[in-house]
Amino acid sequence: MKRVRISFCILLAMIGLSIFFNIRTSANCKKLINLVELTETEVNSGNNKKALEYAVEFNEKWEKFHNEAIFMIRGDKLSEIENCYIRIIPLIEMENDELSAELAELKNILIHFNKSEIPTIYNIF
Amino acid sequence: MSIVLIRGAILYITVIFAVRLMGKRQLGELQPSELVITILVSNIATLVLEDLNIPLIVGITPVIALVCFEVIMSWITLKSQRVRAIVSGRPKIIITNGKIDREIMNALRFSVDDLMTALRGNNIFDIEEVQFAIVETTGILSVLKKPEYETPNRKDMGIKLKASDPPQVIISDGILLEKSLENTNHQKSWLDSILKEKKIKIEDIFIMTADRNGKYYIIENNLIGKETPR
Repeated sequence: MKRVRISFCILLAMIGLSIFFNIRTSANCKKLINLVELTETEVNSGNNKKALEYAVEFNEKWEKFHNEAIFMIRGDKLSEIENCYIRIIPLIEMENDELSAELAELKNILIHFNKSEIPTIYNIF
Repeated sequence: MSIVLIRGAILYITVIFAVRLMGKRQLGELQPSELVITILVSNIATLVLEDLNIPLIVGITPVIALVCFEVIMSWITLKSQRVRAIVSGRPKIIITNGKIDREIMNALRFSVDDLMTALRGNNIFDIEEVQFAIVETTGILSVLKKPEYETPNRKDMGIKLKASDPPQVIISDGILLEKSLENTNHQKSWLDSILKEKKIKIEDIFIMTADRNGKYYIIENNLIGKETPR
């Protein structure tokens, strides 16, 4: 009976932790997506200075999120996002034409990443 | 390299904990569900060791979760016969009154060779000797021989012997095992009187065994192999 109780407690703790982590990941992803959208809007309106501020903020938030996520999420998934966002700031500074495409790609990867971490019927099966 | 080493050590501790959590049932004959868990746990543990992209927690979570499910399932099967029948199956009688039930054999996909192998495993080389045989849920064949082929025991031969529990180790390498002493129904004073009589200390004893009847056996540290019976 002791083992059954321990098992129940461990399972409950795991369920609690996974729910907490899902909510946290989802909230962080939404914040990051929002920052990418703001950067995109500023770039489209030609305000690169403001866009750069948002990109720097994205960087800070991402670093913070990355340090938490590394414990729970596959390293290659995080690397994919990192490889994409690392190019944003230099592209803004150079006012490169590829910037819009890069931002769209980053946003897409983040949306996909967020969806893949939420247990839906598509993700489970 | 060092990361793999540390991950290996953590996984080793986790898997040991998982097996301990499953309990002693797991270490004996495997029920179908236990076999599944054992295979899955070993595979998942290997994956996490090989692929450094997988966070350790992501690897450990299914191992612990599977074991927890198994413990809870074994508790449910203990409470419900119906669930037990679904999860572990039921034992099947394959030979009754010396007659083989071929339908059961077919249902179990048990060939004649399988049956003979299992019988030989029970030290039976002639099927004629078998009165009753049952295939347990673990796949093991339990056999009852016909009375004329059974080995006579003490009761059959009318030999009377006093039943007693086997002796227990009460001192091991100079350390008194109080729990074992309690199990033999003796007090510490009983042990002290023996030690006083023999003029030895607990620290000087390599092994001391005792049974409930007060019979004991001492091997001293400096006299290993030399018997000191009462």
